[in-house]
Amino acid sequence: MSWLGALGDFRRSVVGLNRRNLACVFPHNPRASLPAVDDKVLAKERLVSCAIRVPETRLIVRQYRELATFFAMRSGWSDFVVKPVNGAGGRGFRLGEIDAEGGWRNHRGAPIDDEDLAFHLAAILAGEHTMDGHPDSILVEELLREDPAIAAVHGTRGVADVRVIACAGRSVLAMLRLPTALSGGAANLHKGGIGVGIDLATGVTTHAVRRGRTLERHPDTGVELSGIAIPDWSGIQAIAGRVNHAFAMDYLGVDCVLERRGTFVLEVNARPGLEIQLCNRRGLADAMAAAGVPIP
Amino acid sequence: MLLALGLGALALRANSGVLSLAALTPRLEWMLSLQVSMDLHGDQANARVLLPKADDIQLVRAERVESGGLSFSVHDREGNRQAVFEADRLDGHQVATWNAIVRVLPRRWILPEASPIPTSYPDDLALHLQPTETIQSADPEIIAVAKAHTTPADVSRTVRDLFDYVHTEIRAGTYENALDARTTLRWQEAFCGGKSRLLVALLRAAKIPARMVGGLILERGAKRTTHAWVEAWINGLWIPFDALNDHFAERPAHYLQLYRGDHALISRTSDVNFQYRFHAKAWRTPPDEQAASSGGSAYDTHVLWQAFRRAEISLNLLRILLTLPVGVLVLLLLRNVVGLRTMGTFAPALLAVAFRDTGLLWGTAVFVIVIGVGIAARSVLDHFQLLHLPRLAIAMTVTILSMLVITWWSVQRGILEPAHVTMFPIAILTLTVENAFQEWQERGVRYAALLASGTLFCVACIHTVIENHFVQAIVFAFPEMLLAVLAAYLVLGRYAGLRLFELWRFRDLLGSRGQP
Repeated sequence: MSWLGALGDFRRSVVGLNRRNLACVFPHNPRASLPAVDDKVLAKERLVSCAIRVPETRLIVRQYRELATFFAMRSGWSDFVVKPVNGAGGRGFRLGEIDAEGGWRNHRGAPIDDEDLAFHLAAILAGEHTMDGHPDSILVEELLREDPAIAAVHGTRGVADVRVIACAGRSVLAMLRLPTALSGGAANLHKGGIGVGIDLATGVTTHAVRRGRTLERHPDTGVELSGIAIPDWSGIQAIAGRVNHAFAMDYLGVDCVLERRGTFVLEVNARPGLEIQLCNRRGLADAMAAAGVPIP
Repeated sequence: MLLALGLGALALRANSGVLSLAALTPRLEWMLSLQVSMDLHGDQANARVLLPKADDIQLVRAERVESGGLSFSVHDREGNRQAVFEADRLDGHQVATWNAIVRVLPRRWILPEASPIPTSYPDDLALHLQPTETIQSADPEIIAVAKAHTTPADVSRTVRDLFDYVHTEIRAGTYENALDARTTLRWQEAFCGGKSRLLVALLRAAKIPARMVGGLILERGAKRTTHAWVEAWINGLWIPFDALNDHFAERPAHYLQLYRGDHALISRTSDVNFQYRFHAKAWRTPPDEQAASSGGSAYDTHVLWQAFRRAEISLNLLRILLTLPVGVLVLLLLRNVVGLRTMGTFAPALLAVAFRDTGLLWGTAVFVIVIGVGIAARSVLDHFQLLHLPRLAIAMTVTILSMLVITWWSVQRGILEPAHVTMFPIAILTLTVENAFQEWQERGVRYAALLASGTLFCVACIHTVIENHFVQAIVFAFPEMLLAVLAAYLVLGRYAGLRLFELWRFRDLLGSRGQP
């Protein structure tokens, strides 16, 4: 095949931001249904109503004076995760775990400064992590306990997840997203997390990419990143399909966490990123066409 | 459809005969200023400066004088314009500035063929054959050289030969301009003054009336150096020659004449510490002003703009409004087709507009400084854990203060471009600082630097396009062109192709179809 032909194939199969918005987001994710995804509280309600397991909501803080409630209630928990209800890309995410002495520790295992945490929570309420800068609320959830096999791969206190792009009830592309020491416990790729492509047929990881560069092993633990069999792979695919139907959107990123209790859905994303093409070595347009939803 | 409308309206009006490119193209003029300063100690003192005079090939308009405590007057001195800055019992550092918009129409003369050198001249011309202290045309050495190059039957040939002699035989040296004709001949090396005096002396010795001209070579920036060239009387006309820079019978567009005769530009009382400096910047007179100054309407939009002007709506503002959509089009191309990342959505376009007054170089410097100060302030603020809005308010005030300091500094140093930083969109800068800081915190220094340089590159591109005079003239004369811009937006709005940078980002996928 000629060089030009290869370029033509490339341009047909690989989707850029322009085409993602024009051909995937706009036609498949109607604007009216976006709030149901973007608002994490609404999204969780929808998921729960479809009998999909989600992390337990501990508290929703809507006003500054409720911050005291957070600290009062915290003494009854052993862990927590806070995130902005309307945040995107993992912005504003923080976690806390109680240690043997009853003190609170963050994702690095360092003690949590309550004053600093209170400021962070106030900043979320002020809208610092939303796209539009509007005031926001805080979602407080339980910290999910990861499947030990996956936790051993990244070795952080953060949680890895499996991002599945679902379309027409089927999985189109999938990747395992691993946090690193650098990514602050978040698995988000632009924060320095690692994306590892997953072979849809077998559920085995293929190719790892961090910030556009290929990786063989996890930089913190040295674990080889290809050839990892994702536990409960068929279960994840089934859940992604159900979420896809629940939201009636055909370009949906479903983030699943392999919890010790089973597969949980952590978040749903109506504008999933395009890096997933790199770690799967496959263009999104090809993948969507294969799932029966060809895009122009 | 919109494109058709826009271009159609344009074609219609172009066809109605009012369009000519000459009427559209802005005219290049120079904004010339002369700053004089004296340190005075209570006595009477004055400085006299020769100023350019308007004639048929050089235009001097919009003259303005800010003389501070000094008194200012203009007198005729041997046909030249002499400005006098006078101090009467003043103390301290006094500054006065003269400004004007000047323009020189380049001109070339064709010398007559086979016309003999006249043998006699009327008295007023014969004056220009007399030797002087510095132009020793009666000196035997000069007469000998002149004779060797004179062809009495052909004045043009004689002038050419003498010019070539001074141009090629006399080396362009670095000696002071004060060299007289004979010294120049002996040393065989001189700068503009020496060369010109020698050429005048040789022409006079060859019985061709000639005189010195003092002038200024117009170029961007500040300078003190003036230039000298020669005029010779040939067939009833005074024709210019510059034997240093090889301008034979021509006046280039950057040669501004200040005076005729072998004068000093400045004369003054002796006991003052006197300084002067010329400053020139290219000044483009937009077509509407040309039309206004020529009294007629070059195209019919002009009538509309005149109405705006009568309503005291600034045409400059109007120009910004009209070119902004074009700037945004460039921004769209860079973001959605090239894939450049920038801070803010419209920020680069608005900054590019603000760069109009500072120029690209100073604008960039000032932008980098303001953003740098802002980020430094922002990282200090971070320790105080302030809420969003109060923090932004502080960032804004810091931005304003740093802009004030820059303005103050630039006014102090007499560099006026950065002073226009006050035109920068403060809210945009403040948000840019916040944006840059957050990106830095969340995605690292490299990403923030990448964003900043992308933004600056974008600003530079937009600036170049909206400052293009052809673009300005077109949108100003044909606002309906904005419909075509709208059409381009529509096309871009449906552009689904990969951005250039995405080709690079996904390069690994090239040639690897399907599953690995």
